[in-house]
Amino acid sequence: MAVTAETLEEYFEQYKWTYQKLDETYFRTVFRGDVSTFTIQIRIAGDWVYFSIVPFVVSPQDPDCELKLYKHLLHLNHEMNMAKFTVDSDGDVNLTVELPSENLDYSEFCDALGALAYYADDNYAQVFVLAHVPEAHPKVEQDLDWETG
Amino acid sequence: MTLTVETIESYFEEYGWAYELLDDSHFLTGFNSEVIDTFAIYITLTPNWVYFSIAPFVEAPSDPRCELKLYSHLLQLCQQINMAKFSVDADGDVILTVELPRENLDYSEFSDALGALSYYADQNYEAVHALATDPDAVSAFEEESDLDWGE
Repeated sequence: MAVTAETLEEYFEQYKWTYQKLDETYFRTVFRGDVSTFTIQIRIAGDWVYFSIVPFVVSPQDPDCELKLYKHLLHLNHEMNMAKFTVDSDGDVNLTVELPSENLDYSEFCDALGALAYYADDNYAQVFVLAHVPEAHPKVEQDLDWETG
Repeated sequence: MTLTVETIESYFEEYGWAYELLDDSHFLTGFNSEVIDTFAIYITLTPNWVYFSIAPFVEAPSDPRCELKLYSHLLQLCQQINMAKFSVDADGDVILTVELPRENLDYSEFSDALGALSYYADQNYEAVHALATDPDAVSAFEEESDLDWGE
């Protein structure tokens, strides 16, 4: 059975986060992380439920930022579980978890909010800097590949 | 209950696809595509997750002029697709992945994961390959934004 607005309200009560029900398919909640306060939108749309921070970071204004930012986001997508970074038609960066609406249970609801909160807090500072400071560079990952001299 | 190698083998039998068990945590399968001969799909079992991946989906662009348009296109695709995501690995190769919790992974989810990977691979390969190899290739998202009205 597809999840309903009433079920999501029960999950929010159990999770003990305050929330706002905007309509039968659309909720909003807020959490305060270590580096910023984030608004999470939860939207029921057909077969899917989307948990999103939109925008996570607004579109970069300086074209010099775009390449480094996008490459970093795609590397993060490779490392993260459950969540993904995307770019929308306005160029804004979004962070999303999507789950099938069919039989969405409380444990999945918790995992979705937990993953969003964790990845948002863990990545916000660097993603923001890469989006808005042209001189910024991503953290250099150690090259463990062995090469002959 | 955590998914076992034997359960994945039974799912493959039911799905009707040939597969190879590479070791205790890796399977290889594939499908004949409409756009290239075969896409190889790797299934990797980790303690908590099962990854279904086409790796590489497209190799890293050798011409740096391709990178920005390619990456922008991949992130906009991520906005549109469900269940799957595009990423870039440490070698710069483009990867298409579906990841699912290992706990209680049932046949329906297994089937959906392979279905989503096949569908998105077929639908997006030509455009992604063109953007990764041809600096003059144009993303469909750029064409869409050109339709904006302007004075």
